[in-house]
Amino acid sequence: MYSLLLNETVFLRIEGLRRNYGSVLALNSIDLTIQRGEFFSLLGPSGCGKTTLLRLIAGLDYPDAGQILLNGADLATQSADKRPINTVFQTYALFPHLTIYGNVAFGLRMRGVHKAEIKERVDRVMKLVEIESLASRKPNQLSGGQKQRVALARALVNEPQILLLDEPMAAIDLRLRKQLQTDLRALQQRLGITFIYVTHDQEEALLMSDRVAVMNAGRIEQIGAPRDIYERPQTEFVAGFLGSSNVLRGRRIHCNNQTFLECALGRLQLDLSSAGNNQNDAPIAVSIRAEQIQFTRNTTQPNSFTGKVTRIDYHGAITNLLLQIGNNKLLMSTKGNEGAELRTGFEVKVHLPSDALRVLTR
Amino acid sequence: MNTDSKRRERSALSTILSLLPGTTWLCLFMLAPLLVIVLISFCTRGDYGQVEHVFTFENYKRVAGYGTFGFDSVYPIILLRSIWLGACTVLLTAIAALPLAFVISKLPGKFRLLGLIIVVIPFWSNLLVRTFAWQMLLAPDSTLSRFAQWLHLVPSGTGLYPGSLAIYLCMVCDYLPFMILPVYASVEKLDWSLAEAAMDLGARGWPLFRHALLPQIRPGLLAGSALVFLPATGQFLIPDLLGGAKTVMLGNLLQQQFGQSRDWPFGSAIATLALLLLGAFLVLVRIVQGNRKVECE
Repeated sequence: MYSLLLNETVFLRIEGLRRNYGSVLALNSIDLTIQRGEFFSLLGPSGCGKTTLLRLIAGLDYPDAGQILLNGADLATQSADKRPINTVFQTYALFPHLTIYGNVAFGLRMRGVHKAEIKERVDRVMKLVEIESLASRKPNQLSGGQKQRVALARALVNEPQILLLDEPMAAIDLRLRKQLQTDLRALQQRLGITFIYVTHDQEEALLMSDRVAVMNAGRIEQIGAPRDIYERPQTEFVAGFLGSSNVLRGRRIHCNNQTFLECALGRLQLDLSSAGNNQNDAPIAVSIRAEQIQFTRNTTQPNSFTGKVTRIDYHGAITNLLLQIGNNKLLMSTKGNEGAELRTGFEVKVHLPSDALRVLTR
Repeated sequence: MNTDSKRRERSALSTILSLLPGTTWLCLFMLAPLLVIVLISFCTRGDYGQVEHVFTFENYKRVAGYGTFGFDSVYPIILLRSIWLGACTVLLTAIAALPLAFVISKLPGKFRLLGLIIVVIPFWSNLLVRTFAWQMLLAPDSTLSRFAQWLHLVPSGTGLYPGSLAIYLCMVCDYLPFMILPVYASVEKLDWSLAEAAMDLGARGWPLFRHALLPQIRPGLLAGSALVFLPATGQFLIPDLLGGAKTVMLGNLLQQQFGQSRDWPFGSAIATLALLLLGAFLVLVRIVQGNRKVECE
């Protein structure tokens, strides 16, 4: 039945979803559309409501207002056991008294699938995630990476329309995580199942997703492709949460067909495409990524400043410099050997390219 | 001799010294008397009730049902009746404790402690007093009995006491704390994400409980069962006072042998056998606890 539906355009639409716990608003009117076959990530700091949203979609919690529509049908009245949606839990939640085979077969047994079919489907999915050799083991005999695969197999064997993943990499050590991220992305593309992936790791979200929703304090700040949200942040929160950014506040000045930001640093020339409306003297905020600030020799060039290095943080591939320009601090990232000779107290000349300055909407 | 091995020797010595008082106490006042009982159970009763050191299996044969006039089922039945009483009490207290433990664990903080205190409060009064209280509560002219008469559950003029209902009511009330405390301890630290996972995979109702919750509560249930079964099997006061003193239980049979009958060897044989049976039950609990069956269908 599910495989038949998969051929049509399945998608999930969320409208005005709200959830509060007592006086705490965990989700504040969420609107979201997710396409069939999409790898969609919910990215945000802990407590931003991303897990709450996932639980509402899974049916493990119910909204106070709003709708969750799958193929146009409202899911809100269905309990978790009836929804064609499965979850990979953060702690994996494998049944400790069942073998790996028993764990993977659980969903099919609960749905009363015929024994021979269960065997066939479980074998197939266990081969898919390469855990066929673990069939007779118990969960407490597995490593973190193996447990994750079992949790994945246990959910996938039901052929869900949507697979929800709640920070599945949290318990995996860093080196293995990179490999599993690529594997998971490849698996998703091969199966074509819609994945909704919750994470607080921006790198992970950028690496794996088709689209990312950045969440903060129960709201969605921005939705877009990874490149979109990284390079064109719309809000101060997104600019600050992804990578390292500087936010400059000031007033918009418009003269000679050019738009400027008048701020504490001085007058910065903005790119017209990102300058928005032409209203003069309006308060605006502009972000620039630390790695987009460049060294320059030419101080007569617009958007160039002289500053003093007050701190140097060496990270290997990059080095972060904290610059003092007048009374302002600016964070700058350099790659490789660039600026290796710098010491604190040195004076440097930097350039803020106007196409790297992004006007934030709020 | 180097200092390291000296230190090790000293720590070994202090371990032995610290274990000595408890071990001595147990050996002198528990193991030794038990051993004496086992020895006496192979002796013969003299004509005046004295213990004569003549080796015999006669006492065990009597318990097993070899009477003077062929098979006599009276003692095996007493033994079985006591085990039955213990087993029923375990079952009833488990059924009562499970929902109660869930309800209490879901209460807000301060009410949780209150709930547990209420469950344990009956413990603070004497067993005898509690049992007499049930006699009054279930007497023919009590409110409860009148209500039962009005519902035609019992003929008019008769009470709910004496009878098996009264026995089991009192047994459950008396042994519930032994069951609920270990069960509550395991319910309180339940990992509910397993229940959510089971629900997510399409389970609800009994399968949900069976696969997601029961494996986690099982250790508590088994510990509670052992705590209830052992004293409930030896219980004779409650069946005596609430059952109308018509049935002999393991407890009063034992007491009789060492009291009125003055047949210590026979009493010792009963005690040894009962001890073995209860020990076997504990071993069984351990096995169930240790071997989680591999469930793979």
